[in-house]
Formats: sequence, structure tokens, C-alpha cells
Amino acid sequence: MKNTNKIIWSAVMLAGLGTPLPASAENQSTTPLKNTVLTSAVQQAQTRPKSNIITRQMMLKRQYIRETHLSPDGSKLAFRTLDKGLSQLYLYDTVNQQTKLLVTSRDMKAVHWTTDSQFLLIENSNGLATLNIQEDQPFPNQILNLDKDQNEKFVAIAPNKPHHFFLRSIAPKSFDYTLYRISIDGTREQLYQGKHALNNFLTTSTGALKYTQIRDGKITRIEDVSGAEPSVVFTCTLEELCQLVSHMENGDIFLTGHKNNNYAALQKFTRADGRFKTLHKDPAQKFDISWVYVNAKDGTPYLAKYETDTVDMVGLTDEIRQHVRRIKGQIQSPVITIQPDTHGKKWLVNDGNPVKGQQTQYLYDLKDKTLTRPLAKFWQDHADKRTEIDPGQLSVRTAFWYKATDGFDLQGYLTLPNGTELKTAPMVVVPHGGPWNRTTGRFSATAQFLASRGYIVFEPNFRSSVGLGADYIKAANRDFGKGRVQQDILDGADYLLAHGIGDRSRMAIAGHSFGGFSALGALAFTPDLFKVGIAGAPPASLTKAITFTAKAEQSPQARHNIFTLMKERAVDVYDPKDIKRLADQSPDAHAANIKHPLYIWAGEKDPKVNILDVREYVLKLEALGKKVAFMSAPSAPHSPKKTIAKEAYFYMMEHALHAHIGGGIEADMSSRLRRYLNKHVVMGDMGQSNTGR
Amino acid sequence: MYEILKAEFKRYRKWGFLALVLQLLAWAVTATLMPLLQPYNLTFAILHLVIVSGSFGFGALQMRAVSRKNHWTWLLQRPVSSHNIFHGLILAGAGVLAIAAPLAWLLIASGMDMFTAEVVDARHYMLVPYLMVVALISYLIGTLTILSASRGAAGMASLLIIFLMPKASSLLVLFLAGMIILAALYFVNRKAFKPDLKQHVTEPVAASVMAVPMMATIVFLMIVVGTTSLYHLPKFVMGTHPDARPIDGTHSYIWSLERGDVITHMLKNTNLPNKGQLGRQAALADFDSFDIRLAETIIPGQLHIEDQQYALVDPIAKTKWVFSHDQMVLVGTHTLTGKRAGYLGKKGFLAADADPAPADQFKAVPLLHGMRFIQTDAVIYEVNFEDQLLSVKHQVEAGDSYKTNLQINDHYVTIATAQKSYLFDKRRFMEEGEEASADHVIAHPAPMGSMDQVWSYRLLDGYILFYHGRNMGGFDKPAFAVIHTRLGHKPTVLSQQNFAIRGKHPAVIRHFAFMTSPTIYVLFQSTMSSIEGHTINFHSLSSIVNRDVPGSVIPVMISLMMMSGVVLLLWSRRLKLPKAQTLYWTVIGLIFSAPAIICFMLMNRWKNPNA
Repeated sequence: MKNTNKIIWSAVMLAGLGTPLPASAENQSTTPLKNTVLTSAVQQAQTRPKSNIITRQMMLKRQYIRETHLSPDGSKLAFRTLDKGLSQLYLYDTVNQQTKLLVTSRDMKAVHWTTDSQFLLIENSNGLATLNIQEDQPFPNQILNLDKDQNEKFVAIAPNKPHHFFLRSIAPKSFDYTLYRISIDGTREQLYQGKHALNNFLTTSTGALKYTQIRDGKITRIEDVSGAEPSVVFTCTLEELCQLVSHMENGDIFLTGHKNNNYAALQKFTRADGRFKTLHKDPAQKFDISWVYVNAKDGTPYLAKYETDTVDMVGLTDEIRQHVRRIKGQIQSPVITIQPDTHGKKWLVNDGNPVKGQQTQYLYDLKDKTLTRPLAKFWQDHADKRTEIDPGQLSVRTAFWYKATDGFDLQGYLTLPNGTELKTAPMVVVPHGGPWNRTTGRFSATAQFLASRGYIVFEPNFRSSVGLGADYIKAANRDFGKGRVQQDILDGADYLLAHGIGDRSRMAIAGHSFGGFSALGALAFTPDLFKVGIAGAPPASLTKAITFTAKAEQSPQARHNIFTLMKERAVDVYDPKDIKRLADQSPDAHAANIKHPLYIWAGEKDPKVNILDVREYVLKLEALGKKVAFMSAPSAPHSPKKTIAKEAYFYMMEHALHAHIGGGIEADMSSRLRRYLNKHVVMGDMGQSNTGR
Repeated sequence: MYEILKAEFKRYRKWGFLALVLQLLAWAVTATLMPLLQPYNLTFAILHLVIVSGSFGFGALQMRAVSRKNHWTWLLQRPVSSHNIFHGLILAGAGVLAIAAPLAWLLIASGMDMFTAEVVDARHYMLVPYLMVVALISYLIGTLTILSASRGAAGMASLLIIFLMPKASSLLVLFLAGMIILAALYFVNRKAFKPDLKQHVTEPVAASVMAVPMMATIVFLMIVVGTTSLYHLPKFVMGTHPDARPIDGTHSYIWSLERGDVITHMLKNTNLPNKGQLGRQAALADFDSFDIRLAETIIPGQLHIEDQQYALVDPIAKTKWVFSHDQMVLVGTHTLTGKRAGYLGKKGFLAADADPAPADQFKAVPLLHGMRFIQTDAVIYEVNFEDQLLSVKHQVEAGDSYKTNLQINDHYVTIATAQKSYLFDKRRFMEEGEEASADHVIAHPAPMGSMDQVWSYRLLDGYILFYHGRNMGGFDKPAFAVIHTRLGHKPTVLSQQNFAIRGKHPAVIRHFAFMTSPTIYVLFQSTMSSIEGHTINFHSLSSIVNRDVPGSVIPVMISLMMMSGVVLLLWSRRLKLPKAQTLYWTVIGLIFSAPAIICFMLMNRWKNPNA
């Protein structure tokens, strides 16, 4: 694929696309599409019948089952549904194949199995509750209320002690970080206390703390804390992004990270000689390893997960490879994830095929080598809760690679509307948030929502995106705003336009958080290209957003760590010159250039992007006479949480796009939505005013 | 008589007009702070205090002035019957009171009615006669205090309590009660207005009309003085008072416990296998509570000073929506312009120029809650001012009706009907335009009206609810019920029983009023409940008769009655009262018990003048 891209890129360059393309559609020259991936996707999309619009309600109805957890002994499957604020926790018995409802609650955040498979630990707004599965406990037992004054937080289930878990606290004045192991009977055992927060840690088979991972400015220290005094085992730099995975009885450590590798790999650190050995990395040399499953007995890794163009599970032993191959052979899906038990009996296999609206769960029996569908009966009984999105209506979504104008290889995702002439179809560029995040090959609700309305959706993984190697992050070169990162996004759009995908006169950009920042930037830096911008929780200035986020951290050490990382990746908040550099190329500084309308959403309780900064920016646009509509969601954090707020967000997006680049729209609007919009669209119009008071 | 009336009126009219001006000034100041028609307890408390004390003082002052020795002789020597002299004085006093007490409100109400868009109903005007009655009752008690030879004439104040305290079932009943009280006071005043003011009233009817209200006041004073001096004070001194040392097994003991420990305490004597777990869950749970006492009834046309609510407010359109008892719809007024904004009936919004039809009218006065909820007997409506919509938020099942106010707590919204308590998830209930469905529906563990409060402990999947009430197990039988309600499950009663000890105080202290004078107690309670038209706050005769009064109270009660009869018989004979009076007071003693002895002392000379 990479070679194919190079050929296409050469053709693009020859066609003179290295320089900015002419704005008008009439003058647009296109190059025959030679990218086989895109060619195939285009052919598929164009031969399919036109899709019906995926309604906003369908979008909101997605994901009835929110989490599934296989018990460590593989005998039970716990899964949680969520519908209208009501969570229900079910238990499927893999032996008798019966499902029963355990708890109904409005206050379940997450569920975990204890290592002995005896208890389910339920995180809730007050603390933690347990359910004794073995003894058929009739109702959940709240075992601990988190002390909010001490910033107590659940960390994880303790692996080496049955029904124990880890909890951390940060003292309000001293900022001392304390790690506790807590038994479900409430017994508390302090494992660590210090000025530095633990980013990660490993315990011995007896449960004693063995290794800690501490970030101290630019350095991540791995310390052996089993002795009287902690000793540094090795250190990693910021770029190396080391993560402890497990350790062996002899003290050797398994970790993931970029140590000596551009692509994050599974490595083994041998304590005897102090050397790192790479055990596994992406054979295609494109993606970082994202997760490793280890043998609970000896800590040896046996299964790895890569977020590739899709998702790839890789066996690390011959036996596991055979199992994985067998599963992949039986489930024809590009997105298969595996959640193994710890006893080596069963795996929970999740088919998240992006061309299906709903995920499908399988149980794989390692002994029988068979796949069963544990939730088939449950879905029969709860058919009304299934998403109404017809998989046949979903749009084709594919990853593709392209070259930026400076020759750097970039990856992105393209979703094409079915049965549409792509050359004249409107395109929405959707940059992801972060920016140290990425768009994945999993099902994208937003992309499907937009594609069903006739939009080509381009989701670029611009430089600074994670999971695609250390160089991919580093190559952003702190050049946000009017710089390299924004150019990567434009390069991707140009690449598609040049190949007859999308109408240059019908371009829009929509993003959330950093994606919103990119949207503001796109309208300010390339005012003629995008006809409308939609920005959710957008920081108009990255420096302000970084400072605001860091302020939320109580500990000076945590703030220092954030600022150190940001100095490497974006801006030195202590250096006025550097601040000015970034400010000068921020959308805020170029707001006067904006020509086309902007639709902005902000949460009034956003802990990452200060609502006051968003308001200030919106008022600035208004003062400059720019067309801006602003929805301010009360009590919403960084993203809308309430169902009606989510619907309003989707509506804002489809209204803005429909009004300015002419895609489809779900015309019907509930009176509730209209009321919500009337109340919370505080500036401009989102199409609700003609029906409002 | 008219000369006396005129002269007396002229003498005091300046003071009357001064009071009027002062009252108008006070209302003007109040108007700068809040809408004058908005009920505010402190304002009305001050108004009552001023009118009652002023009228009482005026009555006493006026009669004190005319009863000075020379003046009294001059007055009675006029060629006018004492009957007319009395009427001349009293009518002059009433005339001055009419200026001083209710006139200010009449001017305010009529002014607002004519010159503003405020909702001024007939009930707002009815405050005028109400204030007049209050003033007259107070005035006549004041006059009687001077005219009567009895040192306890001020004890007639219980009549004022009877007029002020109960919430009458209608204005007719209220004013009927007022008229009866005024007639009684007029009667005893008239009897007291005689040449020899030191002579006690001896006629049985007049004596009884004075004695009964006086005895009611005496009972009240006996409760305060008797229980304090004989029980509370010694107990506190000895350090054994139940308030200082709560007694395990009593209802009040729960208040001494940490809220989280109450469930453990209440379940400790049960055989529940998981009582320890339940107790621990309650200890870790979020605590809250709600009131399950019967909500106060709103009577159409009631005086606005009885209102507990004023208006729904639309802050965006700057309108307030006040319920009009005359039109039985909410009337909207722009708060800035004062113009009419429209009407809100049970079918929805109506334009400002519309005339609400009977179909739009609410059948009863609804309760207004939380800026946008309207509660009727059977339906909770949600008002959407923006879209001018009225939607049903919740409604009771057929045959049931709401009995408590809608209560909005931290995590839940609750309301109780005659049969059940409903608990709604607060977040979902507050979602605009969504009909609410209760997360938990709990059948009452005891009849509505017997329970006082419910303490709630929020669990992961529901609540532990602790119902309790002083009379939940029957009269004077405090009881409780612990109910576990889980989402998706039927509520389970974990424990329901009476508290082991009926009260923290001995029965003779708890039932001191009844024990001291059952007749006064019954008369007072049944009169009050008759005026209210129900037995929520006071007890009817039948409910008192059917009570299971603790055994120790009855013997003491009968002994006191017998003893009072004997004491009064002996005392009357010692004072050499005529046989009829001796018999009268002996019977009074037997009927009214201990307070009759004090009443006798207040209504008779203590020594035989001939001795």
C-alpha cells in the first residue's frame, strides 16, 4: 500500500498539486485514482444504493451493551447495559448458558471482576460496591465511599491477591500520593507513599510492591521498591513512552515503549545484564503495540493488540497464534478484539466490524476451539434495544495513506456515502481531538452519521497522532495552528480532491476539542476552502487550554509534568517568546481572516477548555462581524453527556452542513430539541428560531 | 348613647388616624421589598402582633379611663341606661379600630385592584373584615380585663387563639366562629359593665362563658408551669432528663443516633440474615429525608395570609403567574410593565385577552413547585413557559390522590398519595417535557396521616427507607417501618413495629392537658377540628373517645376531677356562697377538673366578706 501511495503521490506532484490547488470546482484537475484501497472503496460506495439517513435517535440508541467482562476463571460473563440513564448488570453463566439480571442502577460507572472470580466490583459515584457471585448475594454491597477531600480514586483490581483492589489518594495540602491495597471487607493496606504519583506499578506473586513507574519531568523512572530503599532499574525519556507490563520471578521486566524503536514494541529488560530485547513489534513497521496480555502465573506475554488501520490481535506463542488464526478464520471481521480469562480456558471475542452497527460477542473455548455467541438469546429477548441502523445502509470506511507536501507518510480514514457521485459530493474533514490521540479503524458513529447524509468524511491522522510511531508524534515539531499539523489535514483533503473524491466548492470541517481548534484554524488560515466550520469545545489558543488543564491538577508535581511534556510537544508555557510563537499562529490571531460561518459548541463545566475563553473568542468573532452560532451547554463537561445535549450537538452539525454545503438533513425536530436549542443557542441561529418563541 | 359615642370617638379618632397613617407607611416600605400580595409569614405575624396588642391595649386603656372613680360616677349618673352607655363606648371603640386596623388594607387592596394588573381576588378584600374581627376580639378582651372583677379576664385570650389558630374550612366558618366569639365577649363585657366593678359575675351562663375560655388558658399555663417545675426542671437538675440522656427504645432516641447508624439500630432485633449488611449499607449511603405528613389543604377563597405559595416565575419572559381563586386559573403578569401576560389553565396557556372558560379552570387550588410544576389532587403538570406548553409530568392511578407536596431532594423527587410513595430519579424528573415514571413505588406501611417522616438511604440500586411517626402505630404509639426498595424489584418490608417505649416522657407528662382537664381538652380540640373541617391538626370528639390512652393517665385524671369537685365544694361552703353557686362550682370542678380550682380563685373573692 505504501508503494502504491508513492506512485500516486508522484502522479500528484507531476500534476502540480504540490502547490495550493485552485479554489473553484471548474478549474479543478483530477488525477486518475491509482490507490487500490481507495479505488476499491470508491467502487463499492458507488455501486451501492443510496442509504437512508441515520436518524439522530438511532445515533443515540447505539451501544445498549456498554461493557462486557469475562471472569478471570472464564466461567461467567458480566455485561452492563445502559438505557435512558438506567444501567443493568447481567451475568451470563458459560456453563449452563443462562443469563440473569444482577442489578439495576442509575449509578453504575464501571464493573470489574476480582481475580478469584468471586466478586464483581462496581464503581459508582460514591465509591465501590461488590456483588458476591459465588454466594448469590441478593443485592450489591457498598464497601467503600471514596474520600473526595483526599482525592481518592479507584486504580485497578489487585492481580495477586483475591478480592483486593488498589486505591490511590492525593493529600490536599502536602500532595503526597498514597497507594493502598484494599480488601473487599474494607481492610486497607498502604503500599506506597511519596511526592510522586505512580504512573504504573507491578506487584510480586505475594502482592508486595515490586516495581514502580514514576514520571519526573522529562524522565520516567522504573524503580525496584522491594528492598529497603528504592533503586532505579532503568529510565526512559518522554519520547520513549515506557509502560510496565509485567515481570518475571527473576526480576526481568516486560514493557512496551519506543525504547530503541520508532514503533512501540513489546520489550524485555533483563536485570542481569541491563539490556533491552525487543520481543515483538508491528511486522509492517507502521503501528505501535497498544496492549499486551500476560500469563497471570509467570508474567510472560502471550497476546498483543495493535491498533493498525483496523485492529490486529497477534499471538506471541505458536499455540496462541493458532487460536487467533482460528478465530480470525471463523469471524470475518477487520476489527476483532480478544479479552482472555486468566485461567487459559476461555476468551471473550468481540467483533467490532465497522460495517455493522452493533458489536457481536463470542466466547472462544481454548480447549474445544469453538466459538459460541453467549448473548444471542439476550439479544433475542431485547431485540427492541438493538440499534435500528441497518448494516446494509452503512457506508464504506477505509484507511488510506498519503504523502504530505513535505513527503511525510500520513494515514487517514475515508468514509464514502453510498450511491453518490463522489466528484460532486460535499466533503467534511473531521480532525480528531487531542492532538495526541488518533482516529482508529473501528466503527465511527460520526462518520456514518455524516456519510448517510451524503457527505464524504475524511478523518486524518495528522502528525502528532499517537499509535503510528514516535516519529509521527515528533514530526509535528510543535507546529500547531498555522503550521505543519494543519497542513497535514489540508494535504489529505487536497489528496482526495485531486483524485476526484469530493467537490472543492463544498468543503466543510468539523472537529471536537483539538479537532475544533483545527476547524477554527481551517476557517482562518484557508478562508476560501471551507464553506463552514463546526467546532466543539475548541480552544482558540492551545497555550490557554494547556494552562487551564494543568491548573486542574492539584499537585505541583503533576502540573510540572504536564508543562514539561507540553514544552516538548507544543509550547513552553514559561517562555513568553514561545507562547508568542504559538499565539501568532493560532486561529485566535487570524480570526479576522474568517469568511465563512462557524458553529461552536462549548460545555459550561469543561475541565479542559475554559468556557470563558470560548465565549471570549465567540464575542471577538461577533465584534469582527463574522457569522457565528454558539451553543453553550450548561453542566456539560468536555463533551455533551445528556441525551438531549448529544442530539443537539448532532443537530448542530447536520444543520450547519446542510445549510452551507448542502447535504441531507433530518427535518423533523422534536419539541424538546427545539426547546433545548432555543434555550442554549446563545448566539446566532441553528435553524430553530423559525419555530421557537 | 350617640353623644357618648360621638364624644368617645372624637377622643380617640386622632389615634386611629395616626395608626392608619403609620400602617400605610409600613405597607409602603414593605412594597419596596416584596409584592404586597405575596404571603410572607413575618409580615403577617407583625401585623397580627400590632393589631392584637394595640386593640387589647386600646380596649384596656379606654375602659381604664372611664372607670376612674370620679369619671365612672359621672358616667353612670347620666340619664342614659348603662346598656346605652356601654354601647356608646364600645361602638366608639369599634369605630376607632375600624380606622386603625383594617382600613389601610382596604385602601391598598382596592388601589391595587383599580390601578395595577395584580391579581386581586375577593379573598384579598376579605382580609378587611378579618382584621376587624381580630381587632374587636382583642379589644373586647382588653375592655373585659378592666371591667371584670376577675383577675383572670385576660384568660379569655384563648378565644383569640380559637379564631387565629385553626385554618378554617371556609371563610363562612371562620367568620361564624368570629361572630360567636365576639358575641360571647360582648355578652361577658355587657355583664361586667355594672356600677360595682368589683362584684364578680355570678349568673351561671355568664360565669360559664367566662370560665370555659379562661380554663383553656389555665390549662395551657398549667402545662407550661406544671410540667416545667414538676418534671423538666428537676429532671434536668438531676441529669436524668430524656433530652439529655436519650432512652433506648423510644422514638426520640433515633435523633441521638448518627443517621447512618439508625438502620443498624432498628434492625438489631430482627431475624434478617443480612441485617448487618443492610446496616452497613445505610451507614455508607447518602442520607436524605422527606415529609410524609398530610399536606395542608388549600381552600378556595382562603385569606391570602394563609397561602404558602405565591407564583410561578418565568425569568426569561419576566412574567409571574399567580393563581386567581376567583378565576381558578393562573394569571400571568409582566413584572416589568405590569401588563397582563395571559392565563394558564388546566388545558394550557390562554392569551391575555381571552376569557378562561370553565373547562380551563382548575377544580381546586393547585400547589406550585420549583418554578415550573403545578400539583393538583391527581396530576402534576409541567409548565414550559418558553413554548407556552402545559404537559402532564405524572398522574396518580384512578381512585388515588396526592396527599403530600412534591418534594425535590438531592437525588430524587418524591410525592405520596393516599396509598403509595413515589420516588423519581431527580435528573430524569427534571428533564423538560418528559413524562416521569417513578423508579420506586412503595405502598405505605401505615395509614396516611399517621406517619411523619421518611429517612432515605441511597444505595447503588435503590433505597432503604425508614418510615416513622409519633402515632404511626396508633394514637401515642410511635412506630417505624424499614423498607428496602430496589430498582426492578418489589419493595420489601424489613421490619415494622412500634417503638418499645411509647414516649420519652411519662404518660402523665405526655397527656398532661388531657389528664388535667379532659373536658377542656375535648372542647378545645373538637372546636378547632370543627373549624378546620378535618382532623389533621386537631382531634375530633370521636377520635379522642376511641383513643387508647395509657392506663396510668385515667386514674390520675378521674382522681383530679373528683378532687377538684370536692375542693370546690368545700371552698364554696367556706366562702358561704349561695347553694346554687356552691352547686355550680362543684359541678364545674367535677367536669373541668383542676383548672376549675384556679378559675374559681380568679372568679370569686378568696375570703368570705362576712367572716
